[in-house]
Amino acid sequence: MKVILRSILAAGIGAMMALSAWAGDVVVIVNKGNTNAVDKAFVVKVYTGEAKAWPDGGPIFSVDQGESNPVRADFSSNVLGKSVSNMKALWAQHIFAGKALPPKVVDQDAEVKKVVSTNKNAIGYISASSADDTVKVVVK
Amino acid sequence: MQSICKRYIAVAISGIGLAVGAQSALAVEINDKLSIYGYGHQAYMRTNANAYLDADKKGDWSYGALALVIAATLDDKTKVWMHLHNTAETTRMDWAYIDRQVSASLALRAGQIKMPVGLYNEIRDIKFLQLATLAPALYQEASRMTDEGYRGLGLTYNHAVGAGSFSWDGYTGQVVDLEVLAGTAKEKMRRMVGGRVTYNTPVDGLRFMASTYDSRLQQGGGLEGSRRVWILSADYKANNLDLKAEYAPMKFFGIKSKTYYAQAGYTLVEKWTPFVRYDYVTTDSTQSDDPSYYQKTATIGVGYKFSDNVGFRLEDHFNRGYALPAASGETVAGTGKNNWNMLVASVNFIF
Repeated sequence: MKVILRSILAAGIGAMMALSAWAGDVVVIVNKGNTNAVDKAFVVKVYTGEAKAWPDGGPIFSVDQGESNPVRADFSSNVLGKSVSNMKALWAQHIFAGKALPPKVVDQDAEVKKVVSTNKNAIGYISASSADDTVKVVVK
Repeated sequence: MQSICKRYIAVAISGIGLAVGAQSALAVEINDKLSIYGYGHQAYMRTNANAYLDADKKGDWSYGALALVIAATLDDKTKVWMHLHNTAETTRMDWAYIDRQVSASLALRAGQIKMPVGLYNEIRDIKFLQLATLAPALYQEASRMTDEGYRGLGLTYNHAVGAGSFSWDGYTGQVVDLEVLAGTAKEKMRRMVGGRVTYNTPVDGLRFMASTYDSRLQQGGGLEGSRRVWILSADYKANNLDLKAEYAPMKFFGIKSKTYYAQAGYTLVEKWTPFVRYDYVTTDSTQSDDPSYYQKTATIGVGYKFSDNVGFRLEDHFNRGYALPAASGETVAGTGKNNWNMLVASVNFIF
């Protein structure tokens, strides 16, 4: 019985540790020349299709990661508060209503950084460990 | 006709195959500027009494559609959208318009555009995105409550209010393809104006809407009249729960009608979605005791998602009154059966 309890406790602590590490793993990045104020609420608006332009009027170019990339699942659940599947359903509504197109999908953190660092209007997300001075981190 | 149906079903099956093959990816991206999306459904319908939507006691597979949505990005702020829609009877362009994001809050549109009315009008044909294959009476053509699109100009303005936000749609132009026959005369739409306001509340997934549009129309012989529709909507979609309710009164050539419904669905393990709906419509409020002019429908069904792109649905509609079959002309008023049911099974997909 004690062994079972210890196992459950260990699993619970492990899960909590994993969760806390996971919670800080994704950062949202923009171009270094982007001076707009960006917070989590704005990021949610961008990735749910509600915001299409920056506060200064520039068009937003949002970048997503591939579905199989765990960073996307982290970003969806941790920042957007929805599953990847739910986000796909939401974007399907926008597309088929003729309202908005989904973010451009690229495969890896390096590719996201490349797009964001070369496009003043771009926004994306990467793992925290991939962040460097080629981009500006706006939401951790 | 049979060969057209067979060919259409073959195309639909090919589309399903494509959707299955493209499970993880929505869209065919030609390049950075051009994307193609698609959707379709093929349904089996059977009624135990009144003929409606081509269905009868033997059942019918003709309820289906296959469509492509093409989006071209002209520049950072401008897109062109086009929608080709194919059914067993016809292929048509449902909408095609240019969309310009003028500022952070304002977007303008011009062309042939889906009408922003209520919760479902812009996605009324995309069964994959709805709880039931058979839409609420509000969106069924026989009720004459909503039209699919208009030719003209539209704008959308968004602004935040506290932790929530408002979205305003305004549009004017001419209703597209209203082919309602009044006796032998075809009604012709002259002009219309409409709007919708959506309040996205601070509660995740909860929103309220009010929509209205007013159109002038002309019947054969020069008789002119109007149609005015109001729709109040409430929608909550979060935590696997999907709740919707809408209420819509209408005045059409002086005849008042109304419809309302409430529906609920709950998704289990991201696959199964059982749902229920209660739907009421009367096509003439002065004769709402006559079963030819009212219909009360209780629906129970279940959907199953094979993937994020393909689903199956089975639903049964238990009806009292037959206003919609009578309004569609498939069942003659005064000869229909008061209590009847309609069974619907469908495969739906998007890609």
